[in-house]
Amino acid sequence: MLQQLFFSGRKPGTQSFGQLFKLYNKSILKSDKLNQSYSEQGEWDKGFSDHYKLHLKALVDEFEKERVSAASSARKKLIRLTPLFVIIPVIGWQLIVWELNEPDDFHGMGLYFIGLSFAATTWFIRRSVVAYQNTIKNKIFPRILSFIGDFTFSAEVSDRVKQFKDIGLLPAYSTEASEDNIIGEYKGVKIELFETHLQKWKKRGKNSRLVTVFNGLIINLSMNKKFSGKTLVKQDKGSVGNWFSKKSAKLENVKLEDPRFERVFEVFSSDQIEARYLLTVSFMERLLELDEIYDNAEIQLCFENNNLLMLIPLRKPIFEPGPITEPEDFIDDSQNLLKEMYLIFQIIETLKLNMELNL
Amino acid sequence: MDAYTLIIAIGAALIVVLYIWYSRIVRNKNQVYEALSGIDVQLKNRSNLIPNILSIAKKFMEHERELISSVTKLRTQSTAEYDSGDAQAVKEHMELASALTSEMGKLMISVEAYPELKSDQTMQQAQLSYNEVETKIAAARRFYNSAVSQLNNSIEIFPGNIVARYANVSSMPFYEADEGSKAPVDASSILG
Repeated sequence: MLQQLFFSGRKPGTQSFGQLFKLYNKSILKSDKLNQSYSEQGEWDKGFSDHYKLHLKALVDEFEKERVSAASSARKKLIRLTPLFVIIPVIGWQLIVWELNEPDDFHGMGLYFIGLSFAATTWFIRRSVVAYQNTIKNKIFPRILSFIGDFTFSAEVSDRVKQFKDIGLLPAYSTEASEDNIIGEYKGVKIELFETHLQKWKKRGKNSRLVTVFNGLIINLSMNKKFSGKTLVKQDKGSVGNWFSKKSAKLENVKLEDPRFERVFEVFSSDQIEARYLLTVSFMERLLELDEIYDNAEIQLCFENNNLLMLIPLRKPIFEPGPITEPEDFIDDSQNLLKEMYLIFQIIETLKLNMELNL
Repeated sequence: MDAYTLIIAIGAALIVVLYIWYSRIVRNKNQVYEALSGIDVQLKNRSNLIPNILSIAKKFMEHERELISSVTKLRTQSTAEYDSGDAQAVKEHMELASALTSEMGKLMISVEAYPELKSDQTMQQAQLSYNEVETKIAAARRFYNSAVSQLNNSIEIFPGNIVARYANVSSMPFYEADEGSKAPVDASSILG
């Protein structure tokens, strides 16, 4: 059920190229479907319709005007720059042909030209859309989050991964793009999470290019248990991979009793007993359950300083506003955000991090 | 390569294999000692907690004198020195620890029959600490049993059995859960 909840019904916003071309359609500037009421969908948004009426509905008109203005600005730019979608490939193709005549000196300049020109054009067109979406994130998301408790939300985050760099879970990276920092508390468990995209320069022949090394969610949760050592739960990478992990982390390998858990995860710790104190038999069972919920997304964990840090790779960003091509009513934004937060709370419930005893 | 060289090469390979096996056995044996000392640290913590629990319990549990004296006796016995290199002594030490766990379990269940004691703040705190220590003992026991399993495998599989004899290493006993916790629970007796 949770898996369905997590992987279905999420609107990708205007991230995709296809969404950009929807801006050609003039009907996106029409403001219909307004004055809607929120209809609750399930356990995760129970009671939200009243919250919607009180804290969000009054802002719909104002934000719909902003949406139309941003969409109109993006649409105008798209129409004006449409010739570029023909000119860029033509110039790029000429460069490729010209370079192909000199095969010894081929650097793929034409391809770079096409890629960079399209990226720059798209960025220019989407500027107003991104600005509008950030306004939604900064002004509306906190209002939605106030339904579930005292949570703060900041869309812009910088240099956030640095503090987790040395824990031994994150791969080496050259660039970091983090966003959507949420801080709050659920059943006494302090939560801090953000999305991050880490890339590393990799050499291929004469050229270097940025390759994604991690794209997903970093969640830091406080635990109601005191521990002094460090325990890592990594994905099992076979005997050779695990040997390298052990050497690089300078920790001892911990062999646990559950063969199913051992097939999926590999545990390293500075304290054999503490690792077993944290990873009880039932905790291992719950972690396997969680791994299934996230569609075997290769979850990794680090227990250190009375906190549990979780790394969950994701296929696409999760805390995103709905598409700008549809009238604004905050309903899809609320549903997406509440579903995602419900899933995070389920991690706490599933792993029973709020419990003091190791049940 | 003549026969003589071949015999030397095979002999050298055999020595290397036996040495690797020997070092593995010694490593496993040391890990068992490490795990055993981990258990003892937690048993010591429990032992330090028990007098507090008993002193609170004594005030209220007039009818449980026998149980309290049994806990006191087992506590004294389980904190006595023992030879960690002697498998039989380790086994007896583990059995005493398990018996104490069982008796303490009975005592904790008995607390339920004394509402005044059950609601006593100091007792509640002591019970929480006790549960925490028991959890740590369980974790230490899992580490110990894992280490024992590795050691026993390495000395029972050929040529480990021969190497172990020369290295003077013998198999160690597992630390098994107390009989009380293995027994089926009669829910009706708890739920009334």
